[in-house]
Amino acid sequence: MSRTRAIFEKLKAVKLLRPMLPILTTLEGIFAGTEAVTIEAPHIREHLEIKRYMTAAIIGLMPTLVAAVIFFGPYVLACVLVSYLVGGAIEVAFAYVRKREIEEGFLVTGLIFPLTLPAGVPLWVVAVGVAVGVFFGKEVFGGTGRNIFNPALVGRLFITIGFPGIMSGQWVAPFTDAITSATPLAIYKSAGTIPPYFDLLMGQVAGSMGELFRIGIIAGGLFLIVVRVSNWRIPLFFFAAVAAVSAIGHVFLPATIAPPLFQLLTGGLLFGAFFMATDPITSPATKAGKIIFGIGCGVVTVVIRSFTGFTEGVMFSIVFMNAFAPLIDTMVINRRFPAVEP
Amino acid sequence: MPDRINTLSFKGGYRFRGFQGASTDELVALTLGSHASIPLGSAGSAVVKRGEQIDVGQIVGESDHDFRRLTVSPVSGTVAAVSDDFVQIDCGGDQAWPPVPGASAEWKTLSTDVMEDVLLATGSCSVVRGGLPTRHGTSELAPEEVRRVVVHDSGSEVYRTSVAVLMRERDTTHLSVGLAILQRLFPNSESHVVMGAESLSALPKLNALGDHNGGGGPSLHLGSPKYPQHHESVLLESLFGEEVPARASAVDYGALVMDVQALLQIRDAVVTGKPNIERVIPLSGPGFTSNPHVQVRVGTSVERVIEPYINRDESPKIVYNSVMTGEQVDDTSAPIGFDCTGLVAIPKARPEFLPFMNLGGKRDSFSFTFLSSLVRVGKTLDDNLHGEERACLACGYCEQICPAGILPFVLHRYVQRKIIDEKLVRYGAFRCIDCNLCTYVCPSKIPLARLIADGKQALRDEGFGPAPAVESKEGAV
Repeated sequence: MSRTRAIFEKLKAVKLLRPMLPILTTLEGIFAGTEAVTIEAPHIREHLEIKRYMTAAIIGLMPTLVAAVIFFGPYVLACVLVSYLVGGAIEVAFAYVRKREIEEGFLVTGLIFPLTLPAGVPLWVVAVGVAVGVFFGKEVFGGTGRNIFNPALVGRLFITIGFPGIMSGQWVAPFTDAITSATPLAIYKSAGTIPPYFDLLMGQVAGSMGELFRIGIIAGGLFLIVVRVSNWRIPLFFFAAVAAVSAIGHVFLPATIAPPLFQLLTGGLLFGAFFMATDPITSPATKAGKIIFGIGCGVVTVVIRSFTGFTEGVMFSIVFMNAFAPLIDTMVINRRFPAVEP
Repeated sequence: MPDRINTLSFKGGYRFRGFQGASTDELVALTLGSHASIPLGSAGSAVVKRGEQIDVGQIVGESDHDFRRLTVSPVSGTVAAVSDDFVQIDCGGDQAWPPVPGASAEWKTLSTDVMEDVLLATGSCSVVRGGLPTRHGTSELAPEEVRRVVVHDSGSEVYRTSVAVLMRERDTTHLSVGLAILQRLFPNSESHVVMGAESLSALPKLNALGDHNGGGGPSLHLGSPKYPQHHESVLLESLFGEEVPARASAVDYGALVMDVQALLQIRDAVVTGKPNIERVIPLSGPGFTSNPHVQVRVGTSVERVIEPYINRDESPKIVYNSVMTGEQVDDTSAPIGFDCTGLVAIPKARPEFLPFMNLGGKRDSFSFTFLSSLVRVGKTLDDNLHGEERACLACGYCEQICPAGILPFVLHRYVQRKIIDEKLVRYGAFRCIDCNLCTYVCPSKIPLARLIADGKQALRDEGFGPAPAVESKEGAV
């Protein structure tokens, strides 16, 4: 037995710590791995596990996080810290009540959530958002693997609707202290102008902390696809649908519907498509289902961006399509395995 | 490699490569122990009594269950005990095998009736799963119903028997003679040989087998290195397409499927009169100190085979045949059966700190999140789950890897919730071929294959679906 495991065995034997058993087991799993072995064929198992799976997702988010810290300073880290602390406390509380181990999915949710917020957001809003997201977005459904909606987006939606003043007026462009209400999408809506694409790619416009450094988002997203942690179908068809709908729409309604390249490189599209729409739990599991889901997200995004009072539609479109994911899967599976006549 | 070779492929599957403990080309002939325990196979019964003197090659058991089968004794000695499953023999006397009468090096002059008699008397009819068809009722198929003979090298297993070792001190003609004998026995059949790249490069002369292609000679195919290429239904489907319903048996294809060792036994029986008494088995896995192939008489205890090689410090788990589908050997006094294709020693995992952070240069994974994706050698192998069981994320790995084209993550939910109805049949539970890849690959460590197998059993109990296929048991490979 390793020394690490021996320490945990001793801790678990302490009567006073009994109620904390699920938390101790979680920590033991992190530091010493599992002792469980195969009891029947197959006698070997591959090495990927959920902790590493989620760690890979966090690595994919690193370029975005580092860029956000460079753009907006250590305040970004404070937001992430608050998100992890508050969300983590809820996770621990549920693990305690359910007498089950803490599930690793939160490591990704807790990082994605603050990155979807404007840099001027107060810390208490971060706390409220992540609490609502984890509680109502995930835990009430039964925890990781059982939730219908992406928890980070549930939190984001709640504060968008609950605190419209804060959420629409706190946009900051990198390296400036000026708070503005004008993201490129809003500017297009009011004035019809488009910033230079290079500025969009490098993130030198106003927007959420994590959605700006688009080169890093693309790199991280592609990394996740290459290592098979996220699937290529959803982002590809999400982008394709946005490009197709806006290309056609821009011909007929140029003032309402922005041109395709601008649509792709602005707002939270890249961040949402690579890191949130691909969440395996809340998106369809079947291959064809992922394609339908991606197309649905793309169409709804352009519709909301163009025809509603909201300037951005990525978040709504993903949550909207999340609701249909089980239905899409059922339809795909029933088509693939037709009922046999008795 | 000549490009006329047909390359096989199939959807799904997984290529196991670069694991530590692959067997070497060393071949060790193991001497007999003092006892042997001869497995009689399913529904077999002994035809000898306690105290009787037995010679090598003497018939000790028979079965008329499903098809006729004779079990010959791999050793000589005195019958010490007889049970429903085994004949125990205290070995003694001359252990050389006397040729069975009728066999001849001039096999071309033998009538098919004589060949069939020799194959039955040498216990060779059971080297093929489902039995080798003869006029003696040794298979569900009649000889004239055999349309295909398929010989493969099991090349997609994690650990495999080296064809180069099997062919040592032999001539490639032994394979072609074996195939020619089968051609005589089954005149309506065509022969197919499926070999992995490794076997083909070890035996360059094998390519000559395919030379007579079209002229009635065997067709040579390059098997996919992906597991489970050699699984009967995957093999037949990739060779002949989906001409019969999914998950069909070899009988539906009119096919006889056998490995190289079975073909060589058929050849040896007819040409030299050698009874079916021994196996060449690889000792694989890092739990052995070295990994030779061992030539061993059937009935020898597992203990005697592994004793010189096992690494006692590791106290490894011993698995019979395949790490993916085989059984764990709990009692090492159990014998090597007529169906043995190898023993694997799986050590325990070493304790480590923050295992999920390991760069993983030596860790196998379907994902590319480990350095081993770049360097595919010297991968470790142990029996650890490598993670805690978690809820299904619907990551889709099991769907991507499934060779049967079903959705294990959907099926397992039905079984977990005890929903056993026609939905489970409709979603393809009975198409599962029990290859266990879904369980191997699941990052949430869910025993998907076990749940699907339980689901199939529950469906059968409720009266759904086909009857279970003839299970592979000792002596009825």
